[in-house]
Amino acid sequence: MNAPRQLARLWSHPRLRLGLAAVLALYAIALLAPVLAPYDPTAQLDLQAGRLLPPTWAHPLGTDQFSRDLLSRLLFGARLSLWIAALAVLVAVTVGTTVGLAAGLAGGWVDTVLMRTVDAALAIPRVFLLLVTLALWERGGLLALVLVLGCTGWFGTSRLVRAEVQSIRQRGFVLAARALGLPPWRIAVRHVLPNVTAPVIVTATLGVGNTVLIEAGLSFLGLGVAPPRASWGNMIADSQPFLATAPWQGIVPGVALVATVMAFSLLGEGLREWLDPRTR
Amino acid sequence: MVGPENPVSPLLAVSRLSVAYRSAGGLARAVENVSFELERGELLALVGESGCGKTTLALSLLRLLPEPVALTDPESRIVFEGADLTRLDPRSLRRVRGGGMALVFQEAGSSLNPVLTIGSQLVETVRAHQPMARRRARDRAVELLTAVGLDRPEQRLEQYPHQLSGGMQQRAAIALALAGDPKLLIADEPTTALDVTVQAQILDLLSDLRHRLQLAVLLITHDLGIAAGLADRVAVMYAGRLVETAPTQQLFARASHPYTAALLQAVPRMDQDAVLPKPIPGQPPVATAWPPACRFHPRCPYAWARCLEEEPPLLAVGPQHQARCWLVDEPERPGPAGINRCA
Repeated sequence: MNAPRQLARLWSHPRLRLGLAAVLALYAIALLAPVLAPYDPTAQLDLQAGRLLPPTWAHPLGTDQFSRDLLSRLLFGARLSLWIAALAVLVAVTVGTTVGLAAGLAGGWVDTVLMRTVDAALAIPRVFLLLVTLALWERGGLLALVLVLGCTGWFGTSRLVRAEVQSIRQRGFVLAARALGLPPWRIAVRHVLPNVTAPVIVTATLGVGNTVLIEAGLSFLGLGVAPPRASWGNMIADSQPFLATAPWQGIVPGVALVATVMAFSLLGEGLREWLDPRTR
Repeated sequence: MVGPENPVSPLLAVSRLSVAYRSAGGLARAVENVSFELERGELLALVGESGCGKTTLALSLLRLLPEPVALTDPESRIVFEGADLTRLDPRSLRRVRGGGMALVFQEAGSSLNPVLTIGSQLVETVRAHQPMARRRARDRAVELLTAVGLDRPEQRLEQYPHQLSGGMQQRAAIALALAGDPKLLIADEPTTALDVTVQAQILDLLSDLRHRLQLAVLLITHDLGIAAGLADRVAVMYAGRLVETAPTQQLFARASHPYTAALLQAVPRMDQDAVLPKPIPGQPPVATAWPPACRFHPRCPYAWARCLEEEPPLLAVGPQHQARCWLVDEPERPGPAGINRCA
């Protein structure tokens, strides 16, 4: 399998191509926010005449009630939301994969303890868990947000990985690897793990979209990204009193949110189809 | 591990090995009270029909059976190069696996990892048994692939298992088994999944490697024909028990257990016209309910009252020849036709 051929094959998949393009575009925007944004996202430009302006050439998406440029806030908001979500999912996938791998390979009481813990954790609503932790951990800032989102997002992944591992460890090459005298951690990392990457990549991708949404919800409630920093969630929260008079203020981050989640869903579904040998 | 071994002691001495599985239908006594020895460089064929416990025996030698399901009797001893594998700590056990005894499986295709190249699997195994630089391990991998007769070894290193044919996969699997420089190769039906010409090539390779590397081989097969061609000694297994063991020549000339005799008659003969293979009547028994006393008696044409009362021990037929049959004890009774038994 050579890399250029793989990339060509990847690109030939329509849904995957669209999702990949959209996600790459989003991250490009997020990276380039400081260059692309016409104004400082937190600058209150003109508190007398510049509040709640409709879209104009000077402000393509209008301004908010503090006369801040909405386009700039949207771009910087994307930057925060996408990186927070990506990092949180990275944490979640790392923890989830490790736990799932350990439970699936060790079996016995290790498996029982880990999976019952996951069951118990899943019985607590995630939003509740997030609200409580973030409310208690007030000074945590963005790091807290990433860790809390990550540490409450790995349960599903661990179950998935455990199930995959249980089927893979029945396969001949795992027994063969043991018969060759390879140590257990090597078998786990080199022989079992590569065979579970496909489903993990898919859930991780879908997870990023989902996490962007949850982060927006938390910021909306005032527990995520703290003002004056821009986040799509707190932008929607800010827009609430003005939905009748300046609807674009809520529509802009709302549409961005929907588009982002769709992009990740497309990419996730595309990857699922592409990685699943049965649909090749 | 124990230091330099006594040169007269056998490479592998298995005694009273019993393995049972917990199953829905009760305890399945897959292997019961099996004892045998294997000398350095010897090729022992373990012959028996499906379900008689051959594979369980092979896996239990390296303690590869799933512990909570498979119960190994505490009386069992597996002494390899002076060390009892049943009491070895996991670390030393790993050194024996692949480094002392290596296993070749029935289906090479599934014993190779589909997502890793042949080269990376070889390099990994070489280095697991002998710490060395990646480059040197790679050279060793090329040597191994050459030794098992794979052409263009350099290219094979970069290939994935699915890019090789069945025969080449089995060669690669053998190379992998040799990577730790084992002294004993356990080959579990290594040719069953292959077509006949490739089968012959793989068997030739095994016999060639055995002489070149002074390997002892435990060849597990259901095919007496294969055993006849390669083995120094044959052990016949039936229903979890060893029923007869003898040097190959002796076994074919004087099969003393009716089961062995029946197996011989079930092999198609090319050298004798008009002799059709004769199937063994009845069904192989299941491991959750072996027949009482002699386990072969329900299918044995010569069974009499004694066979239903008491299970025979392994009785000496000749110097290296033993059979688990009361006929050895009572040679005046009618036995397998055309077989010259001696008491």
